[in-house]
Amino acid sequence: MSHIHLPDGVLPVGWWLLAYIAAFIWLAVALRQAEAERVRRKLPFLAAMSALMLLTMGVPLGPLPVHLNLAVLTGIVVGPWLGFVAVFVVNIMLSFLGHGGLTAVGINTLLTGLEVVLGWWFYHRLLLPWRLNWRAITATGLALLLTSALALSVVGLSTGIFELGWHGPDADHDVAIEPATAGENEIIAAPVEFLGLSGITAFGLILILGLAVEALATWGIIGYLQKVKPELLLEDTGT
Amino acid sequence: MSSRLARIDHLAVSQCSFLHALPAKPKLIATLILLAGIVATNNLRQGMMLSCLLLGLLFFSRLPLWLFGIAFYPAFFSLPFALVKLSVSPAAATAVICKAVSAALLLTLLLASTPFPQLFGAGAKLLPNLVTDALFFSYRLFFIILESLERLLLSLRQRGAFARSNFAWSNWVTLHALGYLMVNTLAVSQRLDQNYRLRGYQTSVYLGATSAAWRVADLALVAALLVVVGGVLRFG
Repeated sequence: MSHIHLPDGVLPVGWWLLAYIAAFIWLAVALRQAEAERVRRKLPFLAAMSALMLLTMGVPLGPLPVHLNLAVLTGIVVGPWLGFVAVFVVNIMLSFLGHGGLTAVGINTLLTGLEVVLGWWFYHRLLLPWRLNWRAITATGLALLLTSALALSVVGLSTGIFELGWHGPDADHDVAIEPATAGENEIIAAPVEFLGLSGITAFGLILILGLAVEALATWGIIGYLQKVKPELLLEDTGT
Repeated sequence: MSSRLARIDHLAVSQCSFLHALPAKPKLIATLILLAGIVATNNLRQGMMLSCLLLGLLFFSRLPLWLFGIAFYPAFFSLPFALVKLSVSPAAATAVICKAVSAALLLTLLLASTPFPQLFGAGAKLLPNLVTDALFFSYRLFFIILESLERLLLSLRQRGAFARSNFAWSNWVTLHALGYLMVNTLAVSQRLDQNYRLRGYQTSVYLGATSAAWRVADLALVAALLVVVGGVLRFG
C-alpha cells in the first residue's frame, strides 16, 4: 500500500534523484549483506516473490481504491535484504506499465523496501513471543501504517497536495473551493470524496481499508503456509 | 494488468516495424533522452509537442492504438497534482497530465517494441548481476504463474468455492488460494533455476553474442533526438 502511483514529472527533480541515489546505496548494502552463496541459492525465492508481487499489484479489489502488494509477506519469507532487491525489481517492471513513473522507482523502492524491512523486523524480532495470527496481522498493520504515513508525508511535502484535502472550517484561509472565488495566490481545493466523506477523512478511510485488506491477506496466507510449508516462515538469519 | 503485459510482450516479439528493428541500447538511451525532455517541460506547448512525437512513433511503428489507453492510467493518478497547479492556470494543470501521459506512452512504446531479454540485457551494464538475473527470472515466472492462477481459479469455481451468499467463506478460499499459488510459484521457481543450471547458468544469465558496437545510424538517432528535445525545450 505504500507503493505510490506517482507519474513522471510530478516529483521535483531533486527529490527523485536523491531517492534513486539512496535506493542504489541501500541496494548495494543489501547485496553485500546477503552472502554470495546464499544469494544464489535464494534467487528462486526472490524471483518467486517478485512475480507474486507483480501479479497481486495488478489485481483490483473491486470498489476499493487500493491493491495488495505482499511486501510484508516478502520480508517474512525471503528476509529484509533480498526482499529489498525483490521490491526494486518489481518497481522497475511496474514503471513500464504505468504503475508509477520511471522517475518514481527510487522513492517507491525506498518506501516499499522500508515496509519489507519493518514487516520482517516486527514479525521475526519484536513480536516473536506473540501467537502467529496476531503476529502476522500486527506486523503487517504496523509496517503499513508507518510506511503509508511516510509516503503521504513525502508526497505532501514535495508536491503541496495536502492543500487540496484540507478545506474544512478550520482550513487555511488561502484555500478557496471555487475557481471563481480564488484569487491569484489562492489554491483551489477540490473535495476528495470517498463513500460520502471528504478531505482528510476520505484519505484516512482509504488508508484504514487498505491496511485492513493487506493485514488480513497476509494473515490468511501465513495461516495457510503454517499448515502446508511452515519452514518457509522460519527466519534464516535475515537473508 | 496481467493480460495487458502478456499482449505487450507478444507485440514486442511478433510485430515488425522500424522501432522493432532498432537495437535495444540506442533505444534505451533514446528513451531516457525523451523522458528527460518530458520531465523538463514546463509548459503545455512543449508537452504537446513531445506527445505528438510519441503519437507519431506509435502510429508509424504500426503498434495498436490501445497502447495509448495504458497511458491514461497514470493520467488518473496525476489529477490531484494537476489540481494543485490549477491555481496557476488551467494550461499548467493540463501540462501535468500531459507529462504523465507522455511518459507512460514512451515507456509502453519501449516495452512493446523490445523483447524483454534485449531490454533487460541492455540495462545489465547499469545493474548488479543479481538484479538482472532477478528481472529475467521474475518476468518469466510471472507468465508461468499467470497460467497457474487461471487454472486454479477455474478449478475453484468449478468446485463452488466462490459463493455469493457467503462472503467470508469466499474471501477465506481466496486467501488460501493465494497461499497455494505462492507455494506453487516457489516450487516452479526452483525447477526453473535447476533447468537453467542444467543449461549452464551459474552466476549470471548469458545475454547472447549481441554486438556491443554502435552503428552510425544509432548515433545519428541519438543525436537527432537530442536536437529535437533541445529544440522543443528551447523554443517551445
